[in-house]
Formats: sequence, C-alpha cells, structure tokens
Amino acid sequence: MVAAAVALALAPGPARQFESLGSRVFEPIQLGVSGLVDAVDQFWSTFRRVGELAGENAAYREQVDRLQAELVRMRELEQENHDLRNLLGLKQRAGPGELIPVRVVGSEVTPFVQTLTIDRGTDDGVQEGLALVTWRGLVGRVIKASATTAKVLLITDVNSSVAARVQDPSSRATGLVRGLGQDGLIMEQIPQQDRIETGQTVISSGLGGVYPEGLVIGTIVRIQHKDVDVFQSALLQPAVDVNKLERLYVLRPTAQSRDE
Amino acid sequence: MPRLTTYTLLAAAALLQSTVGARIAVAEGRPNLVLLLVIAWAVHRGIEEGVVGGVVGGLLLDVLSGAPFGLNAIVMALVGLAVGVREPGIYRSSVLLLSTTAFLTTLGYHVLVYLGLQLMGRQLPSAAVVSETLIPAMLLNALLMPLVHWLLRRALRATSALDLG
Repeated sequence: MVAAAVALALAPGPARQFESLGSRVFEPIQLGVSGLVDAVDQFWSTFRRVGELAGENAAYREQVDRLQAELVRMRELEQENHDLRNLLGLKQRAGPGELIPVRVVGSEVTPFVQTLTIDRGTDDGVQEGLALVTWRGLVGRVIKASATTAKVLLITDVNSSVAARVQDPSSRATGLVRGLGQDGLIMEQIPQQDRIETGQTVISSGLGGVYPEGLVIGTIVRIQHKDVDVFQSALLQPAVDVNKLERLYVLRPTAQSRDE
Repeated sequence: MPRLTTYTLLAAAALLQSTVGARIAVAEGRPNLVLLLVIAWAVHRGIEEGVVGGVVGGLLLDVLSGAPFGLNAIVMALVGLAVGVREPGIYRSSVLLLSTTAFLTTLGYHVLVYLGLQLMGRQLPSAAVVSETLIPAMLLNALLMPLVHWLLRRALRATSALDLG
C-alpha cells in the first residue's frame, strides 16, 4: 500500500487520474452530507433565533406600550396646556379676581327652570351673585349658596338677564341679554340706530355690577329689526354649551377689584 | 314600612333626576321620575297617601332643584290628590288607563307649575318653547308609567315580605 502510494506520488499522470476518480466518487456524497449539515445548522440557527425573536418581540411590545402611554400623557399635557392658556386668557379678560374651580353635581334643565348645583359653597368662598364661567364664556350666576354647595342660574334661564354689548369696536351696541328657556339667548333693547351684524360677539358690559365686564356671552345669529320699533333685538348662539360643561370656575372678585 | 319604602324610592328618584335625568332627553323631552312615583303611589294607596307622597316628593325636588322652594311640593300634592281620588282597583287591570293618567297628569303638572311661577311673578318661557318639551315629556311619562307602577308594587311586596319575615 505504501509502495502504491509512493508510486502514485512519483507518477503525476496516474496520480491526477486517481484524484479525479476519487473526486467524482466522493463529490455527491460530499454534497449530500454538506447539505444535511447545512440544513441541521440552519434549523438549529432558526430554533435559536425563534427564542431570540420572542425576546425581541416582548421588548418591542413593552417599548410600544411605554410609548403609547407617553403619547396619551403628552396629549393630556397638550390639552391641559391649551386649557391653561385659555384660562389665562379668561383671567385677563375677567380682570382681577380669583377663579375657584367647581364641578357640577346636579342640574335642572326644563323650560321653566335652568339651574346647576355645584360642589362648592360659602366654606370655599362661593357667595350669591358671583359669576360662573368657563374659558369659553359666561355660564350663569350663583343664586343660592349653602356651606358646601351652591345653585347657579344659567344665562339661558328665562329669569336671567345680563347687561351686554357687542364686542366689535365699530359697533359697541348695548342691550340686555335674556334667556329663552332652552338653549337660546336674545339680546333686546338695542337702539335702532346701532349697527349690528350676524357673527358679532356679544360680551357682558359690566353695567349694573351684576356680572364683570368682558365675559363672552354668545354670537349674533339673527337680527330682528322693525323700522317702527324703538329697539331692535338679536338672537344669540350661547358661547357655552350648557349640555357639555367642563372646567368651570366661580369668579370671585378680590377686595381691590371690588373697590374699583 | 310601605311608606318608608316609597319615600326612599322618591329620594332616589329625585337624586337620579337631578344628576342623570337632566342628561337624558328624548326629542327634547325628559321623564319626571318623581312625578311618576307620586302617581304610582297615589294609584296604589289613594287620596290621603297620594297627597302626603306628593308633598314628600315635591319637597325633595325643591331641595335639589332651582325652582322656587315649595312650588313642587304644592304641585305634587295636587297631583297626588287628583290621581288618588279614583278607586285604586280601577287601575290594576288597565295598563292603558295608567299610561293615560300619566299622560294627562304630566300636562296638568306643567300647567300648575306654569301658573305657580306666574303667581310668583317669575318670567315664563314662550308657549313654543314649552310645547317643544311638553309633548315628548307627556309621551315619555306615559310609556314609563306602567314600568314604574310595577316596580313600586314589587318593591312594596318585597319590603312587606321582609316585614312578615
């Protein structure tokens, strides 16, 4: 055998032939075994990868949950930011005074009576006559206050009246806004010569001292005008939807603003 | 015990009406749970108990609502009187009669409240505004009356059983 190997090594021609024959014989076997080894290796890699993927998946899910929670929090912050800006605007419009946050605990919405019950009373500084507002505008006035709750008459109540004027500097028409018993308001006693238009904003004028000046009441939607009358009137869309009240405040003037 | 049960139910109805009731509207009409209970009680127990139940229910409404104090007590007492004057048995066999009573009593209630407010010198809404809510309220109350009557009778039976037990 050794002699045969030496002879093959020393004789290039027969050596090459032998090698070629050996390759031809072993090649398919090699291919088969190599393929099998590859398949096993791939299977094993996939098997390991599944475990890794499951772990990665769980980590991604956790990350998504965390990001979603952050997104929700950010939206809340955005809304709070928006509300605080509006509240700042409200404070600036309402003048010096304290805003006492309140919640509605009961309500009565009938054509005859439109009132709310709020969760603050005299113990918290809420007194009769104080205005109830949201950042959108005027809601009503406190008519009864006990120690822990108070009743508020909505501006849409037929017994409510607010001295008002048109905010537009080119108009400044004055009048009296009364409730119509459902969702509407009417501004009456507007002098005929005063020019008013639909779409104009109406605010409290502060006359009479019942409501502070500058609180938004509503927007003119229709004008009722007869040449023979002394006064004209206008129907208003209230700025505040009494069926969707949130973030309410009682406006309590400071001692300084009361003296002014 | 039956009175206690009914007065407790009236308190619950008044609370529900002032919290949830204001948010429930069907075509601008809202049910009046206290009125329905007063009617059911008057139907069940007659004129005297109807009047007392009306006063209790009305007072509870007056405390929780913004209406002039005492108005609901008086109006509900009159409702209890008007409904209770009939023989109780007459209603038991007829759901239609119960519903019709509630329908007409709701109208009567609104008329009495309107007159009461007028006597007190209060501003009143226009007839158009009142009618927008009145007819749906009458229909709602007529629909709910048999259910409220049945619930009251079940509650009274249950508390009577507890009494005897």
